Amino acid sequence: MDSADETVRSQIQRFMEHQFLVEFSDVGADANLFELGCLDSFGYVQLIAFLKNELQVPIVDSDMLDHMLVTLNEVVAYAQRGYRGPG
Amino acid sequence: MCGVAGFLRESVPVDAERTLSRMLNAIAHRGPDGCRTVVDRQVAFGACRLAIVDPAGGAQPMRDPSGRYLLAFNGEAYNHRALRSELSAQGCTFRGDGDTEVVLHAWARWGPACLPRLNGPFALALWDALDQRLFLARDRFGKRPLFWTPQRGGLLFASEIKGLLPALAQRPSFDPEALATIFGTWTPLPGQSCFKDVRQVPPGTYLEWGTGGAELRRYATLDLSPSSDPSPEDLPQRIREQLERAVALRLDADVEVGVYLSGGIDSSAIASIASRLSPGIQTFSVEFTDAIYDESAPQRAAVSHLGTRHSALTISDRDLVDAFPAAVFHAEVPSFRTAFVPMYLLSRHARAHGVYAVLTGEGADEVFFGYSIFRDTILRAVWADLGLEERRERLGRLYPELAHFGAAHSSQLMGLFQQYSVERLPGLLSHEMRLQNGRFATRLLASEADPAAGLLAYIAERPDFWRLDAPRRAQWLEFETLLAGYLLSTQGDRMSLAHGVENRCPFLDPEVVALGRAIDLERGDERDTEKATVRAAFADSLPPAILGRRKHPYRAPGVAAFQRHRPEYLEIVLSEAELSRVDVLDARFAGRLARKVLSSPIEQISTQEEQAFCLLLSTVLLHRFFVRGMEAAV
Repeated sequence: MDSADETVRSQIQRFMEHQFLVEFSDVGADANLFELGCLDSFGYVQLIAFLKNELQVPIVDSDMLDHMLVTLNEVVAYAQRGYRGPG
Repeated sequence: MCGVAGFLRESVPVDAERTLSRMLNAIAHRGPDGCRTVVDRQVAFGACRLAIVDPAGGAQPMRDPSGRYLLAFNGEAYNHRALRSELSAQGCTFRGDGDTEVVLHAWARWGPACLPRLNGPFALALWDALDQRLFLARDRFGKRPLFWTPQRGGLLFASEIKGLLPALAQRPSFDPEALATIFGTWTPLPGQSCFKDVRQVPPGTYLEWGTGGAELRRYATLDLSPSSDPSPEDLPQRIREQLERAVALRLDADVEVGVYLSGGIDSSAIASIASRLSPGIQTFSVEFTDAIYDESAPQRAAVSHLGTRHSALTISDRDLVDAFPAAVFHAEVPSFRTAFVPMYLLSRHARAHGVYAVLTGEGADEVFFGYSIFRDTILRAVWADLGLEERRERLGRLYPELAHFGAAHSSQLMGLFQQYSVERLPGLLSHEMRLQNGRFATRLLASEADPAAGLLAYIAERPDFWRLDAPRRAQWLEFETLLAGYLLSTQGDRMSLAHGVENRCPFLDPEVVALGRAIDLERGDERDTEKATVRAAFADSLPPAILGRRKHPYRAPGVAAFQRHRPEYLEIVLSEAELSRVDVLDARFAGRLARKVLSSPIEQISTQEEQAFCLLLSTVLLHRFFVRGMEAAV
């Protein structure tokens, strides 16, 4: 994992821990945040907006249509595929 | 209207009269026209009365002429005149004109079989001295409350939990499993309270206490199965006719009756009928200084059109946060929103205007599919059959009031709906998203009780539920949970009776409810749930400003009001020491949530966070009032 990847992970983790009042040291990076009651539709829209606006991750409509990013690892993996570096 | 309280023991103690008086005093707000008690060898019954029908002759508890039956009755039998005629024809003679005496004779004649024949809100206690049996019963929709708890080989009962407290050996404690249900589904299940061993008689049910202890027997079930009678063409006219009859029955009182006007189609329809049957009737509404929540424009349009004597109560953020603790004290259950607090203030306002009973539009959204959860359910039920563009279009018009449901986020929300278009909790397709969001609030609790477990167990035993399709299951769930457990109680009976005002709900007349079965949802289009038939029924009686208005959920300022005014009592959710006193809470998470909610920009606070904050604050207040016994400023 290079330092850019690490930066993305830590930024996403920090955002999610603050925004959804979750601690990944407790629940793990593969915990389904919807099932845990951390994420709702509003939070999910906030999360995608954060990826798009703060990390400049291109959000591809077709990626979103039939599945969701529900774990920290899924969010990070999605972001790392399209990460363009800090704006 | 009144409050009832009492107890049954193998032999009543020498201080029974005193204990009973204290129980009645605790609920005296429900019946400010006086209390009366009857103490027998085994039972002690009391009632405090708000005299609405037959003020002079309806004193209770009431015995039948034979002395066998003793009745304490809280509520109304709107059809008491018809029942009186029927009973008179069978040889009954009556001393007064009130409905309590009719109910007493009806029980003497038909026993518990009289219960499904009563049209109206009620909770009653009846002692059969011959058979040595006590009965506690509630109306089919749960409009009037009745709590009970086993004690010393018998039981205590009261209209409100605070009425039980003077007779309890120790203060109540929270029930963690009930709290998980309340936090997860927004309301207690029928039969639950938030306190250990304190139960409610479920709606449509009676409790029979004999030598074997308590047995619960259901006397009424909700029939929500689809019906083709009346036809779609005749339905608006039938709705109009049945509502006119239902309003007329509920205007029959010896005191002044008013109408609560929200600005929506339902209460406006009620007001249009009531103002014709009772010219000059008073109407009341809430206006908010926060324009986001204010509905004064349509309210005024309705008033101007109908010519009622109208009085609006303007409620500021400060009014709301100041009244919040007192309203929670009366609600006696944690609440997920603040919308009940304005109703507490409005009932005080109505009472100050000489009104003892109010007609409301409650029940219309359950009967005629007015809530967004019905649209949402229909869409998710047909989701798999739709193409991408149709999904996007229909999703786009689902929640116009929610910014994050706008077109900019439609792809993400389609992903969300995709997940929730498959039923994972058996029978709960409609409510799964709500339950999932409720899991956030259950993180406030120290226990890891499953918030859905209680509801799943409840529906498992209800064959009437499983016979329904998805939108009608949603309707059934709304009747059984949010209507009975919040709208008719926390936001209804409790807030009104806190100031001695009675709510009456014409849309919950059984004949009106039956018409909801004729709403045709067969084509799977969520637009069929928007109460077009109710609008058609009143097309000639209401102004376009009301008829053309889309459903606007009634809401009140929430976290924003607490942020702006920061009442001193907020310290109880910001101090970990205070939170630690409430042993059912995860004090660390509760503190984090409270700090985040009270310090974040309001646009960054999610609905689930706002709901969790209200649940937290109301829970800690209830802990102070009921568990610790601190006095509430009411």
